[in-house]
Amino acid sequence: MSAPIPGSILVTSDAGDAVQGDSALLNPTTGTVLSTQSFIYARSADRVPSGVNAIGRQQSSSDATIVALDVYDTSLTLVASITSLGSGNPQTSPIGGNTSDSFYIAITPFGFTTHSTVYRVSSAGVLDPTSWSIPTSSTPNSNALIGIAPSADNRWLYYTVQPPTGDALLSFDLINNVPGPTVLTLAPTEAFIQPGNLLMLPNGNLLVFVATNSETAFEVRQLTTTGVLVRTYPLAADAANGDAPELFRDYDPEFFWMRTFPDGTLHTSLFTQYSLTTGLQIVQWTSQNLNGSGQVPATCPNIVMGPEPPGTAKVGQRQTVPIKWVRRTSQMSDELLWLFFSEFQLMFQPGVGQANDPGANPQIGLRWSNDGGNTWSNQRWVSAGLQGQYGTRAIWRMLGRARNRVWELTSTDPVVWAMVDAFATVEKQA
Amino acid sequence: MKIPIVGGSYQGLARIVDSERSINLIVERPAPDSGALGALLGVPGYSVFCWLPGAPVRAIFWQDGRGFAVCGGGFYEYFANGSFTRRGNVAVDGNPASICSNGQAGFQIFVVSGGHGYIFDLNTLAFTDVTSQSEFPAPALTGFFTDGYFGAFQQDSITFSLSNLENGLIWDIAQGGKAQVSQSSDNIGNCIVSHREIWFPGSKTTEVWSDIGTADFPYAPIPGTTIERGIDGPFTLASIDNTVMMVSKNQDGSRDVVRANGYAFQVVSNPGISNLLSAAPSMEGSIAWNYVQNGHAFYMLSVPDMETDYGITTLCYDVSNNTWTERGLWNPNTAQNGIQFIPDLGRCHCYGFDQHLVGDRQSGAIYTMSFNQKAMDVVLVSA
Repeated sequence: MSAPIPGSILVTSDAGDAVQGDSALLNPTTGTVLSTQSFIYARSADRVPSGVNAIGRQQSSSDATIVALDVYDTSLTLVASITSLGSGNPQTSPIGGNTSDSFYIAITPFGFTTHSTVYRVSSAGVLDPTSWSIPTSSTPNSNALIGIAPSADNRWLYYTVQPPTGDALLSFDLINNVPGPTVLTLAPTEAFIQPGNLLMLPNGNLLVFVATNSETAFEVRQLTTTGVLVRTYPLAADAANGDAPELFRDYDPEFFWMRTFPDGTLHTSLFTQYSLTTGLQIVQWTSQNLNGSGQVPATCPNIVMGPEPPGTAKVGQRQTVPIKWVRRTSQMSDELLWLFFSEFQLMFQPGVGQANDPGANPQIGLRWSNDGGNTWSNQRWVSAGLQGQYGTRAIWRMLGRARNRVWELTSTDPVVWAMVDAFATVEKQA
Repeated sequence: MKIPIVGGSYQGLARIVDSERSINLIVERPAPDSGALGALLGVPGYSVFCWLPGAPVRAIFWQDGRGFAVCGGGFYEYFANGSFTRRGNVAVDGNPASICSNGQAGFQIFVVSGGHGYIFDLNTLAFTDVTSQSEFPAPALTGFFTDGYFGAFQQDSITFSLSNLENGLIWDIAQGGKAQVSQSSDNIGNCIVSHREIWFPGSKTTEVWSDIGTADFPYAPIPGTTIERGIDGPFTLASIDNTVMMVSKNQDGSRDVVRANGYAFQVVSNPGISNLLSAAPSMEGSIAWNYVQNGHAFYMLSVPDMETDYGITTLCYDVSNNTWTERGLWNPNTAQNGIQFIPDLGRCHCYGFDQHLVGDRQSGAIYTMSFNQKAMDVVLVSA
């Protein structure tokens, strides 16, 4: 495969699919197949960090035997192939990864009917899935694992599956550094992502929720106000097939994707991109027969390729702030004699106050410096006139003495400001 | 005694020299024979026109009824009512992006972002990465359109390229191809088109090329136009008021704002402004944008870490009266000592849908800039 365009989506089939071992790289805007490749497939619950690399499993060309766990860079060039890791081999396990804490985590062993309670962590410090030196561990409450991933602040998440019928409820539990499990009742399997320190997940009606990882628990808020897509067949079908609607993270952290299988055949995938800020749909397209041979790599995961864009996680808040203006004059002096200031008058457009606050009675502030602008007097405020009071004059009196003086005017009121001149009444030292 | 209230900003090396400030004010000079007084006027405010996902707004463009923007890693089309549609994904780096169009000759938009080049088809809405074209100057920094050709230059090099005529999907030697600035040895800092001429300010000198119509490569340097001034901060370059402005440097020194007059640069920054610029650690990350409103042509220059005693402000040069003022955002909730400004939120500008549109340097907001807006209705991003 050639280098993916930024944000392109690598879709792979997993070991539960009849066409396991097929993969396709999709254009994120149109869904067009950019390229295909055989013998890369991934587990349904793999959660590889976006923009870092891809995890694939190499299958024998003669049978369904898994040969190796492969690691690919963002150009889909093979960087490592792991053929044997002994007990708890992550070759056959769902894998999660975390770039900030630099480790991978895997459930092991893993099956479709018998779920494990054991997980294993790769060597920390370098994001290297080829080294799994840390021994296996078991879940604290013996809940079976179907997915697992580390969060940005080093809390490891696992989720367990309830009876796979109807709108199955999942329990999301936390392990490592968390005093007790937090349980969220959520429907589809294998459908969560973690942009930054958020956990995003859909419920049974495919409303997307955002859970903020707090000190002791996840605080959940609903992101979308309507179902993010039309549910065209029962979620039970997903659960039965192990192929759930799936959320996955975008190349740009501002966005996330949901992939579903609207006709229930697993041969048609509906990809929908949403804004994390607004919850609104941005792009939607449908893909069929992705690998060009009449088959669809229908199952999860979906891995977004390309480098992480910098600085896009900031969201911001809309606010109204005043426009503050400042006018500081040049120095007034006259042979460094004492100047006695009895009055300062500003020639400006008065009577421009608003009908209501803010700005109903606009104010102008004056302060001065007698040392060239190093230290300043207190601010003195006068009115610029209510609405229609065109005879208002802005005058300041009893302004002290100085050998040189700098004046400074300011205001923050939201009115039309126009100043044309200023005059000081000055007596010079005899 | 008359007090010189109408004036701009000028900060000397020491306050005893001068410490004049005009922040968020516009200096209006009277017509020469009118006898009227000059005035200080308030500046226009911002209100949110649309809020794109991601951040920041890296380029904004409008032509013949359609508007486009690059925000974060997305290329968007925005509409008159403030709605928008994502038209494609772009590569991202810390630099601004650029957008230009060949209009009805090719119905194409050319986007340069993150070193890549992209063509958006105005009819089919296809968004194509053209970086792999044989003569495309990857990694590119800035794109332009002139005389039927799209063009771009390669970062940290002396090489620039032209596309095929009216077709930015093809970059080969059939109609365009690569060329190298040849009158001097310094790398191209940035480029801009003014009056169908391409200006290439480098790190020490500036070359100007024009279309001479030759078959193999249509552009060539204009004899005798090499200028002994280069650019300091590639994104301080702007085309304004029928000419070119930038922060300049050459082998003798730097940090003057200059304006082209013919094929020579005139320094337009007063010593006070040059003092401020020189005090900044670097011009890297500095961005200039420009607009014309109510008869004033403004060159807006934001320099990171250009500290003043009122915080960091955006320098604003009014070409119409040769006056420097400052712009800044003042947030009463966060301003230290009550008087600290942060730089104006603007980063790029276009005039579209009969209004001034300004892209936010922090968020994905595009603002309408208007004198009717007397406060700042903006998107604030915490650190």
